[in-house]
Amino acid sequence: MFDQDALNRFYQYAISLCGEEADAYDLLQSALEKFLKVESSKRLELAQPAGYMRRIIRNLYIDQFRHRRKLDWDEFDENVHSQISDISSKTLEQLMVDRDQLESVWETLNDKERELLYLWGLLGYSIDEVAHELECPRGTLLARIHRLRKKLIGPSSKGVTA
Amino acid sequence: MKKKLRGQVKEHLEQYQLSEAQLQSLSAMQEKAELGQKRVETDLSPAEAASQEGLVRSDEPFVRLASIAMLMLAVFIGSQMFFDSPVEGEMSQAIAMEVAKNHVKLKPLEVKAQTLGPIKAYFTQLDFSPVNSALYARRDNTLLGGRYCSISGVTAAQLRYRDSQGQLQTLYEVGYDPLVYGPIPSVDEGEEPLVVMANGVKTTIWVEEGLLIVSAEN
Repeated sequence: MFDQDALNRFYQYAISLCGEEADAYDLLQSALEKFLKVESSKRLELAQPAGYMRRIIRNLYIDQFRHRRKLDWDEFDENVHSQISDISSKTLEQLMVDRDQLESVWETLNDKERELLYLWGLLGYSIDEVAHELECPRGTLLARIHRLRKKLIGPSSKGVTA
Repeated sequence: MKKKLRGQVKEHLEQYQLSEAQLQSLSAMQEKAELGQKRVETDLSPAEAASQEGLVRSDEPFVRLASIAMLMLAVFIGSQMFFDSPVEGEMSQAIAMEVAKNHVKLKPLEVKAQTLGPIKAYFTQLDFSPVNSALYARRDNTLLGGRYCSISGVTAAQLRYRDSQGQLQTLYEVGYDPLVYGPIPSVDEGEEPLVVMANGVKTTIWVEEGLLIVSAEN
């Protein structure tokens, strides 16, 4: 059984994806229902229930919520590809931001960027661990980090790559 | 005040907390599911189950006693489940047991073929495509055919082979999900397969090309 801390972590994950509290709670409730159904039908105990629960939240989000919003694809950005060797997880580690700055930028982030920040910032995952959890190529994540950084440090960052 | 991004993100996300009512509702969902599962496991009578769910008036002395007894039983079973929850070795043992049982039954083949092509074409309901395991191919067995089966509730492919001594062997393939099956040695990463004896059947368990593969032989 998930305790209150775990449930809050899932809720925060759902908020990272949906961006709205009401949707996040609906998503969490549906995901928990599905998880409990799967768990009771399995003859083996799940090896990583929290990871499995996050996967259900993510899949349900993709099925139920994402189509309502503008799809956020990882657009091909030729500048990113030329700069990708300069991007690393340190690009995020070194960033210093104040609360207001983050709050205002948060509104402009897409679901994938918020999800990356959740896994990296709240769960403390490394970029490799994020890539593993999201089954996403490392290069795609690095491109996402590059765009995130540009949003976080504002227009003055134009031309800054690392 | 400026802070490192990681700390600021953590602070930002942690401001979102479920309300007491939401937490209670989610906890109740889990308790209900857990209770349902225990009822199945302990094979409670309807009256006992009802008393656990509070459907019978709790001021009836017999029901109250029964409730206490059932609660003690549930705590005992719960503690047993906690201490007996499958860990890595037990997970592979459980897989081996399930595969061994299927192997012994030797249910009729649904598709007969000596090459993987027609078998792949038959398995349209799988989330993966059966592969020719490089590890298993070393045994030089003859493919006979296949049928659908399941491993821990997940739909899998069962392939049947005949070895050089005329003995039947079965090979099970299913999409590998570490969250469901736990860590299993990957031969693609140079790891040695697990060999587990179950019900007199020798089972070999490994991961190859993203599939959990189990062979069973007498």
